[in-house]
Amino acid sequence: MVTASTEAGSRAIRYLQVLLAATVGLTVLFGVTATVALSRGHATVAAARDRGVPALLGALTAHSALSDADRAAWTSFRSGEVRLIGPGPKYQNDITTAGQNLERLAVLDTTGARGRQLLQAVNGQLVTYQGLVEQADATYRQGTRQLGYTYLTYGSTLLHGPGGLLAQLDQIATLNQDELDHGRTSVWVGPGVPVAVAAAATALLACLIWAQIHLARAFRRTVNLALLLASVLVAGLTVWDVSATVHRDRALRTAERQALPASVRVWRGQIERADADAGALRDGGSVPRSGDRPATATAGPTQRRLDASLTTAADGQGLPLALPLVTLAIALLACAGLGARLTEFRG
Amino acid sequence: MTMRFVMALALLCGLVVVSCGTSGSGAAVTVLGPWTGAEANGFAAMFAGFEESTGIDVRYIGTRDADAVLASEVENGDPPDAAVLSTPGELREYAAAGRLAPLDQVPVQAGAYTPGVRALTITNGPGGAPHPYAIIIKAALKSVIWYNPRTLPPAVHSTITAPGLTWQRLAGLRLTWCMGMADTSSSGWPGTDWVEDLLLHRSGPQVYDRWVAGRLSWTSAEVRAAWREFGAIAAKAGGGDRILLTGFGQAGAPMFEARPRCVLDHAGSFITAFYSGTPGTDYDFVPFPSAGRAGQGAQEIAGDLLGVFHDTPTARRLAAYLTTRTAQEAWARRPASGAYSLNLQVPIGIYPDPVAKKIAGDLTHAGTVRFDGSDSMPQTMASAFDNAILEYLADPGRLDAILAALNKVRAVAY
Repeated sequence: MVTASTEAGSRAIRYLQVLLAATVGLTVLFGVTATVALSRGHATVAAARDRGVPALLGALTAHSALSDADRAAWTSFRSGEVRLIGPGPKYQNDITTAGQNLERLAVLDTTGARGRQLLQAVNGQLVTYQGLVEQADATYRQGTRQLGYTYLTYGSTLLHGPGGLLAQLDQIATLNQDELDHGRTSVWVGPGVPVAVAAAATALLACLIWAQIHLARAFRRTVNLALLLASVLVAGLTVWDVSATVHRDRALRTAERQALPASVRVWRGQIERADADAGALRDGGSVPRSGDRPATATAGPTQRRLDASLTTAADGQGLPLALPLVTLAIALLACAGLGARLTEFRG
Repeated sequence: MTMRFVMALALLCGLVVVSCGTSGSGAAVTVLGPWTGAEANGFAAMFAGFEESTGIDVRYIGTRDADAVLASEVENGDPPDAAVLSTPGELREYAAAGRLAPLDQVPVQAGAYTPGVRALTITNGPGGAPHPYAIIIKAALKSVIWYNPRTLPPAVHSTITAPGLTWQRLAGLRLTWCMGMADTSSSGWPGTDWVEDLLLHRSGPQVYDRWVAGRLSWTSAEVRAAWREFGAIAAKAGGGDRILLTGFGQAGAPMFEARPRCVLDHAGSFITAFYSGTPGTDYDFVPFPSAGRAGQGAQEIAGDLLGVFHDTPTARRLAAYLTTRTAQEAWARRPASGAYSLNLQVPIGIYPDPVAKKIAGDLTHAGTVRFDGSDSMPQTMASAFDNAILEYLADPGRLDAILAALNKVRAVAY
């Protein structure tokens, strides 16, 4: 009788130990799953916000600035301002803007060796373009106006021709767009992530509920407060995590599928307008009326919308801090709830 | 038990994390060159066999403005592994500055190139000692005059194809020449080819060599006469703006129109890459005729060289491969490629049409050969020459001032 009772006691202790190990193990699994999902998802968002999107827009901004520089130079030549101010302050500002964006692209370095090679080619061609405009200016001022126009035409051809500077900038933009598209298909910002986190949470919750039921049956304890609290924390943390993940992914999709294409369309529109104006001036057309809005002002609203979407996507909503702390609390509560029964039983 | 379970779980997670982070990459060599479009495809055909046999990835960046891009990259201390140099002048300057790796160790098959051709790749290094610093990718015959047999009047056709044609006879014909000077940052070079050919065929190789070496004044009678002759042809081609703004590749296009606006095009053999139609039927050529006894049988050629900026085993292997018959044939055999090999092992039979075979024969068997003059000059002189051509076409009345300015550049460039 004593032996049978001892064996039953040993079985109950082993069962409680297994239950404790399973609960702790599932808590670790939940914590690891949620943490990895959160950090990798955040890394994907950060890559898009801090590198991919700025690089794509940097390439477009540089393109737009150079198209505008070409227009400004032609405007100065056709209006005769070149005699006093050379290609003009707008041209200089545009070249500076283009240069700054090219430097930014070099720092971001998002497209590997291919992108670096293209960027070097673009920088080299930019120097050549500036040289041709300077030559045009010098020749014009010397009195050979027609040769001045010829050099300026060579400069425009260098920008717009097949395989020219702007075509290479577009290739850089395409490489960055490809990188963003690749990031968009990442599993870490896909629907599988909240499902995986919810699955791990469900397994942990099931284990906690089973432990609660087992303790109620075996020890006639109606409610184990520690386990109950752990279950509530698991459910709460899961709802928080999943909703934050879904919110983040939705914001990222909005940024990449709506706000970014809208920004790209604005830049492309400005580029087309500048190219059309410069083309008309090259063909002997009249100087377009002044008062064109600067590129940045026009791009402002779409840029702000894009920034807002990306900021929302990157907002962790406190999870990076809460996740490890609450997971630790769940593990401790599970240990406390089951450990107390183990101690009680052994005693 | 609990501890073991947790450790196993941690190990599993660790394995998952590690397995997610593995990646790999193969060897690669970067090459910068001036070819885009069909020409880039031709060059890619040259190194395709290399990639296949070695597994090394050749990353080619093609831009029409490769010279300026290369200069910028070299200046920034980040040149490509190898680059195509369009002139021996560039080769000399980069080698002397210690930017290029000597290629003594790159094996070239015995008898594949004549000593004269190999000499084109040898120049002085930073210490003053001569070494081979390049390999020749392809060559072009520059003393060529193109026409369209379909539209050229029969009488003119018989005149220009008759044996013993002289420059004076050709220039005396009432014909419109095709001409275009535009080529981004090096616009004007098609005009330098004209002046060079006229000087070579009027005054002969000795005068030509002295001029290229900077020992003959730009204001000398011989050089001035060549410029004036060029000016007369340019006037026949429509003069000034139209020529200045026409791309060198598009200059010959009017030859192929139903009512051709021009009928003769002076351009290197590479120009066929820009022509449409069937070689021999839609376009053919005659060699640049001599304008005097001194210039009889002379031919001007040009070539594209490959120099190595990063002395890596992969770059050297690529350079060695590109000299082989297999690589040289790959581009030359492509239809209308305009690419010709100086490798003696490449048989003339591989060229895709009768016109290409004729050019390859002329290149291989030319008597008096001179390399493109402006390509052989120091870069400053060559650049001034290009710009001087543009200035002359814009205002032919300024010839004396232009030649005097070129003389000033000569005084400091050599």
